[in-house]
Amino acid sequence: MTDLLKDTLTARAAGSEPPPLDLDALMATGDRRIRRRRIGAALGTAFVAAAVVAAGLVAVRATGDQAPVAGLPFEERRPTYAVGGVIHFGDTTIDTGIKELGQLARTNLGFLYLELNGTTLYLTDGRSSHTVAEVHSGTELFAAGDFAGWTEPIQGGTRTVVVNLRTNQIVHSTPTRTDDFEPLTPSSRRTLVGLDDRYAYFDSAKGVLRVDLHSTKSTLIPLSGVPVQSVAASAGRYVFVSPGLGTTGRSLVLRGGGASPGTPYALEAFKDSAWQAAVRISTNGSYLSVAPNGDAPNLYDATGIRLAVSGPEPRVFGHWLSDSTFVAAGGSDLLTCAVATQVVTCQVTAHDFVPRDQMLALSTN
Amino acid sequence: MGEEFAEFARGRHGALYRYAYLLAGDRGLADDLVQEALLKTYVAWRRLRDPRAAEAYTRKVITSTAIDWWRRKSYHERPHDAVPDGITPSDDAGTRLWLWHELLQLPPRQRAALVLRYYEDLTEAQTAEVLGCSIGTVKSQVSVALRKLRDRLGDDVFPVDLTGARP
Repeated sequence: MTDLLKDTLTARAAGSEPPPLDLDALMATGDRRIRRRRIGAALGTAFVAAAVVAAGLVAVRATGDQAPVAGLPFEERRPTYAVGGVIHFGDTTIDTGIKELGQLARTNLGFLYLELNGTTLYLTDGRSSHTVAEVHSGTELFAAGDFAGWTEPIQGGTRTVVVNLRTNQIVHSTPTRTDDFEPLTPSSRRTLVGLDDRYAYFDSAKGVLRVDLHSTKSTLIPLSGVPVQSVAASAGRYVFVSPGLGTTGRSLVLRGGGASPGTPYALEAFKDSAWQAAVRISTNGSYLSVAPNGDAPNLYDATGIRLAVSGPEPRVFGHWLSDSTFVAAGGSDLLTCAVATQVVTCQVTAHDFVPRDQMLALSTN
Repeated sequence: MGEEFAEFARGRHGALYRYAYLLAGDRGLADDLVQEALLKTYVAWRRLRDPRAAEAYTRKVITSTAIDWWRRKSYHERPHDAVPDGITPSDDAGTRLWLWHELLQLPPRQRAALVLRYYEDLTEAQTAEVLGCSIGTVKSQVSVALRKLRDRLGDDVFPVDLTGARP
């Protein structure tokens, strides 16, 4: 009897030809993951213990014996990050009860987080936490105001969901509203590339599809006459990969403007097909951070001019605190940086802020 | 590190993909499983060192990820290659098609146990290691899975000896 089972499994396996393996892209992604882990492991020694006592630990765990903090002003932009399973929001800390956070984002209702390599998306308000959704490994998380969105890899493509956390309703999901998009092809992408208080921005073959979060009306923002890949969008700024602007390779390009974007500015040129960049646009779109392939961020203004850095060098970009200030990690320190007259000036906010062997997750907004 | 991993990945990609396909029953998902597992293996490469340990680790990640994926899906959402209407298990090809279809209906751990035992030819101890459970659990998973297959397909087609799992 086992022969039949063996035959069946062997025949099925023999009939499944593996697709090509893009080893360069896989290893590039792995290198970025390794770099992030090293940063977490290398930063700091024993700073946090005293800080936690001073700030008052908020225990979300049922077994926690600390009093929860009620009514935190989540609308405020404070330096926000997680060390291990503890979220730091300015001077306030929230213990999520899990070992290591992999992603963290702030909303008006609290903090969204994913456990490192985890697949459950949680929201905590400092008093309790609840599950928002089950997602696939590799999910990229966005948050703004009352909204959360994510793009997750699924079989044969990606799925994107945007939810209103206050009403607990799905505002948008792909591919349910297929009339808003081009026909799904292997090359068409439906990834979320940006979220702000008003719009969700989706990558599409013709540009950025901007969806109003309140009316769900969608507008296609054409970015170029050729197929492009959008990388980031918010606050009236669009960042995308384009086949060169006078170069032989490809370029990361910034455009501003509304429904008819204005002059394009080339930010970075590259030839490697596995090249990727994490882009963070400031609250009003005056500046942006571009971290290529997991490297240290480069700062640009809205006309594509790269800004010089004074003081400690930011190694990992965290999030914008305002239109011209942001949080970053540099060496073993937490930095606060400000942009003025095309110069970024950084100063240390906390020395050695991550204990050895603990993971750091900086909030993305 | 990069060259050693690349050699491992190129050399074992096909076998790992076929294993993932038998677990997932879907080519796209199998590809996703292998990509994610190889990525985790690459990140853990320095710790693994021995290519044999790397393959075991990758297979373990594929298995746990597949089981986790299935847990979060209801049965009707599970993707699989379609079984043509009208086919009955009247010959070997038809029987194998039916058996494949029924394998895909098994709970994920039971299916994984069968694939590891009867396709990968792992021992019960090795299967237990991959599944992260006891040998006794492997025995019971295999036994229950085979009984279900026999119940669904009938004794004529699948005259299963329920003690047939190898020690």
